[in-house]
Amino acid sequence: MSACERIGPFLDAYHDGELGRLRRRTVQRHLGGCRDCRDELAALGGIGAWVRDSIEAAPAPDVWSDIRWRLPARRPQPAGARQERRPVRPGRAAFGVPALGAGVVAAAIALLVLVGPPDLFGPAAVSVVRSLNTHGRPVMVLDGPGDATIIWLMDDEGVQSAEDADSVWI
Amino acid sequence: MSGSDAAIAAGRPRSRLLRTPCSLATGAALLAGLVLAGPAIAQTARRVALDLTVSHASPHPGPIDPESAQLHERLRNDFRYQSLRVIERRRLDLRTGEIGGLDLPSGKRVRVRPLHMGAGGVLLAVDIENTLHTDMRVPDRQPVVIGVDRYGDGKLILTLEPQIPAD
Repeated sequence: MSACERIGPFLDAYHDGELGRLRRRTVQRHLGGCRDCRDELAALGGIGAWVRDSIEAAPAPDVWSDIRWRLPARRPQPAGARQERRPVRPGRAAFGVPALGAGVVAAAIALLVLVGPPDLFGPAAVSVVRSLNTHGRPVMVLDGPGDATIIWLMDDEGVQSAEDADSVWI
Repeated sequence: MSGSDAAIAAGRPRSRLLRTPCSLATGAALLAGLVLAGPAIAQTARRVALDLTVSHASPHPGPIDPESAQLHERLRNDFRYQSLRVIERRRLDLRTGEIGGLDLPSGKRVRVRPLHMGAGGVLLAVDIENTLHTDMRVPDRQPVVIGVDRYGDGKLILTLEPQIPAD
């Protein structure tokens, strides 16, 4: 059985994000080197888009035109009418710049107090593992946000069995 | 020359209106400094509870220890084994920079050291003697499972789970 034949049945589930982490990685590894399977995956994506387009709801009936006719007509403004403008006091513009600066700083502080200070020592936790030294031993890391991180030190048999398997013997 | 400069040049005191934003800005900057420095000051006193569990998975048929049910749920899809049991549980209560640890049944020493606690969790250095050294930023209550060494007929598994107390 070729690698494509082994991977093929999982492409659909891979496309839908339904595979376990190890199987997903196996499929990803194969896709990296197999154009045929990549094309098949792209075709699956195309089918998905076509299905989504076809089931999209028909345009909603024109509710607005219905409502518009029930609204009272807008009163026309007299030609000479002008918007009232409040007079600007002298010195106000000069006062506005520092006050605006102080306002921005105050808003930033309020944000800091409400949200909490930024974590200056580390970026957002996308990946848990930051550095890894296994003294030359092969290792498999299953790392993802919101899930348990698994660091699995392997021996040589483990590496070989993990190449194409969906799960590894401990 | 601005109005305030002109006022100073003329020997007149600055108006109260113009002084207020400057005082506000200074106060705001001081407050910002305090807010930013606060966590760094508090950092020295922060503690983290680390739950360490040592388990053993075996390819030979046997029971799945009820105590390791959660671990089993995490591993069952990716790893093949037929029995799983908890060997030891320990809780370490550590300050940042403090080192704690335990000895694995294989004789290897595990050492853990929280380096920093922030919004992303605890930055943790883990060292397993001659086997593994890793730095990890572990979110609160998110477990890290480490498949360590062959032991007996199976494998030793170390689970670490930090619990950062609320301020």
